Amino acid sequence: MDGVFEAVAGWARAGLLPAVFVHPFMVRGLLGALLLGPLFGGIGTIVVARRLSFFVQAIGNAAMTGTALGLLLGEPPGSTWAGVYGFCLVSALVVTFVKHRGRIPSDTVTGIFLAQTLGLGVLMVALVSKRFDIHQVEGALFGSLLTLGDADLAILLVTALAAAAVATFLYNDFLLASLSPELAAARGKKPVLLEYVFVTLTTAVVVAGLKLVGALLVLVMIVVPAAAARNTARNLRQFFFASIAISTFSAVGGLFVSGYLPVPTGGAIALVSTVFFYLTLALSSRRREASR
Amino acid sequence: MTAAANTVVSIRGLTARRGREVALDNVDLDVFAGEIHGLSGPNGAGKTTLLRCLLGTLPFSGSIRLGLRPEDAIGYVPQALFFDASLPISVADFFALSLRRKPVFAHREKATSALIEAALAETGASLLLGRRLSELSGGELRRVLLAQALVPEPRLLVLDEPASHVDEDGSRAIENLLLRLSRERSVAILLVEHDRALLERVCTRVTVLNRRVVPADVFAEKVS
Repeated sequence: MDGVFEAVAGWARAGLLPAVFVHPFMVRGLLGALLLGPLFGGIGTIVVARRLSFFVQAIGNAAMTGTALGLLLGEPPGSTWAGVYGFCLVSALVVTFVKHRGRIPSDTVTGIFLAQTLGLGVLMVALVSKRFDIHQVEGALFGSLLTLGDADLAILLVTALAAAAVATFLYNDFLLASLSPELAAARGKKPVLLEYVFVTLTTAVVVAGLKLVGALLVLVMIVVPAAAARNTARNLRQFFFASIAISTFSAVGGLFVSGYLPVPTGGAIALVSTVFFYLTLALSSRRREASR
Repeated sequence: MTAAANTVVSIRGLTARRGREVALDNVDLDVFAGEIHGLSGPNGAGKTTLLRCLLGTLPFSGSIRLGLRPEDAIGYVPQALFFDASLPISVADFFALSLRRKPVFAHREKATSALIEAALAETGASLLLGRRLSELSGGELRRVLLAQALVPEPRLLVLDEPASHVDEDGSRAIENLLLRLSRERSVAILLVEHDRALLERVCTRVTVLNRRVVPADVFAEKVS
């Protein structure tokens, strides 16, 4: 990877690229943003359609607890992948199981799980902070461009490719099962299995994006672009591509903001994407005025 | 053909629970090819529960056998769809979700569009193709749901109150469509419906359900 960074830094010094690209972390960040943007934008359309926003938020929070857990179990700071992936995946599957088995509304199940995870997380962070630099956990919460390493990028790349392949193959089924599980079943699909596959997929994507966006703001990157796209789209095709475009522009735009100003990347991305939301909202209400 | 070879749905001793409550108790029911089997009964009688067991989204005890080959399609008209009104899903999108393996956001071939248009024409809903699902009236949505169940052509058609919210002309058109499918195409039809008059007009048999089959109410088989 070092050769790539050298080459890019050379282009930046020669004025072919913005000056911030002399820093390898900016190049890594850009690669991350270009992978995460389309992925979050696309998956976000299904999350919004399946009304799983709250679930995504809960998984983001579970990642904080998972980070602390990883540190406690002796994983090196900055790459607590086993703790985060393990805790988030187990949590996601347990929540989905309880949702299907019990008669409690799914938002309530998610809410209770969120409370429990946060409580556990706060306790563990307190334990961890005695032994480790608290910034390790802070990075997981808010995202940190500086700590994004080559290994993180590799994990992100593999996750993104696998998730994109599965999500493309099952896109229709995910949506059909959310509209009517019975209808999906009549078409030979397995709605419950589809739900498990989708929460696993979403969890993998959320965790892979943590380093860049942070646990607290991952929801923003998944839900806001889809919500913004929804303002103007007339059909699913427009919805999907607009969501991807908005998500990618937000990720790259936020990255540039955090490259020039000393602000966390996740926060910058969140703000840029909400700007898109208000723009599309204004656009759609003007269009509605015009059609009146 | 014997009755057994003609049996598309064979339900024996079906028992299902809703929480602790018994929703269906030891229900037997058959649907033959070419018949319209009506299913009636008060609210909470277990009609929709029976359909969910049949489609495999609810656990049950007893047996449900389907006399279908792997390539035979089941058409299903749900009572409602669960979607957020702001979700930009068009009528054509809704069809494409179950008609195509390719993701709905990919380019749609002319052949698929023609198939969708033909199905919509069957239920008098051709003009709705480009509309968003959330903009449809209750009756328009029923027509779209019915049209969706017709492609690919089903061998078993299961309908959950297809005529509710539909105007009188629309209701007649649905009745004629069901009669044509059963008589000309030998489709087996299971029709959940409250309207007794409608049931009497189209059904070969009607089973009245109130957690169990209510025996006195099973109509004598009409020769059609």
